[in-house]
Amino acid sequence: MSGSGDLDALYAASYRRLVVQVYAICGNLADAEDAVQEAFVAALRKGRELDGVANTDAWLRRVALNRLRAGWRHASVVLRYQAAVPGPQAPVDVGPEHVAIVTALAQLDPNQRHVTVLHHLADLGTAQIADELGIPEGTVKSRLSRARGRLAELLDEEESRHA
Amino acid sequence: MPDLNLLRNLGEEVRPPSLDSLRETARRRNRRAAALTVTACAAAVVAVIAGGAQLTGDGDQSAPKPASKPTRTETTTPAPAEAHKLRLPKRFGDSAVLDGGRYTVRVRNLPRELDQGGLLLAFDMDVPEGWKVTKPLIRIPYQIRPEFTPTKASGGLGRLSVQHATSGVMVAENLCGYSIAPFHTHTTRGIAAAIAGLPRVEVSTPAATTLGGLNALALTITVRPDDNLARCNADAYELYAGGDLGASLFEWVGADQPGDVVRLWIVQVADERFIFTAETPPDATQADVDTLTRMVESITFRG
Repeated sequence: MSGSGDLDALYAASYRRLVVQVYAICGNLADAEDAVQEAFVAALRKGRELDGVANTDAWLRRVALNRLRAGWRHASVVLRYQAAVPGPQAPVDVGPEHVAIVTALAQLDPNQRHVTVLHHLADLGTAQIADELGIPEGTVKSRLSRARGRLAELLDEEESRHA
Repeated sequence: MPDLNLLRNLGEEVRPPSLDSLRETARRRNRRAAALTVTACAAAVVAVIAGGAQLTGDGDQSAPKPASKPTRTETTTPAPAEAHKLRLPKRFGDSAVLDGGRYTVRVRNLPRELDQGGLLLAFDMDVPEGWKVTKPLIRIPYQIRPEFTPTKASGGLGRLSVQHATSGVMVAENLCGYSIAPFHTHTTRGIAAAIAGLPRVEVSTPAATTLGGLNALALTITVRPDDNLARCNADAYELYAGGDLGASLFEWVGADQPGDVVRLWIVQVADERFIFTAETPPDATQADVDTLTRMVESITFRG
């Protein structure tokens, strides 16, 4: 996977998808873009070691989320000492419908939100999610079920507020 | 869910930077990492030569030194008598830049239906001019832990945060986060022992000290300058986490560079235990370290 052509293909196929997934989890599009770019920089620095990673999409997602968590460090160190990632290239027209969904997602339990994003935006099956998060598949299913119910309530509330 | 599919469309508007620009970033970071490693090795050689002259056969002298006991030093900006109310940003992940002064920091568990203790801790602390307070992002909605960092305007590097550790700490078995060993302990000594047992990194012996007038234990964790964190999937170590609400909700204190230093103070306030964590990257100056030390030393607990 670490071959130049492979990484080019992976970047072309995954960048936008990962940005959307991370945005759905963190709620800030610029931060999501930075985090995904950081993940690809980490992948590039890993070189051939990346060959040993079984699921590069999952690896990139995890690195991006870890970078978000360490955002304070990213900001302080990168600004002063490290080569920065390019960041967002163009403003994205985030509409009220997008904000409503992300706001609703932000109100979910973080576990439920993570599972929801992996299932509905990363298109992973419950077994794959269980594998990625290291939790039983039954737990994935119950979290998904609860998240769907709660999300529907939240989006209905939002709709009726604007009706 | 059809609603979520709307977000997919957003991806079409995102314009990725060229992969070559990311390659250039990776190359620059590799060059810098290589330069830092050479510098660290040279510094280590100098330290060994200098230290060799002082060693008299007592093996303990080569062990990591305990964290320094906080001693009251003069702050550059005298703290006002009254502490200001600290207003956290509304959104998770957002930050607010603060005026220099003394603030009352409240640590809570939210949301209410999951609350295990309401207001967990309130303390007053001096904050330097231009530092910011952040409502952490990933840990929502369970743990609302303000963390303090310098801004570009104020200058400086580092972070000061507090972790709730009444039910103990989680310590990663191998630091790369592949597996997590739950370590529950209900004493400050037990927490210190769990952290002192971290592999791969240098950890000082827990030292008795005081924090805000209360007995505390202090430790220092140092990532070895010649360590290679790239062997971890996320290029980072996960050191320890407080909280007891499930692994994915823990607030991990980590390190992502050789030479990172994490100083921590474990303290029991009433029936609750907390860890105050001051982190500095390898590029931090002594002034950055001193600033964080002054902040910790200025803490007084309320109620």
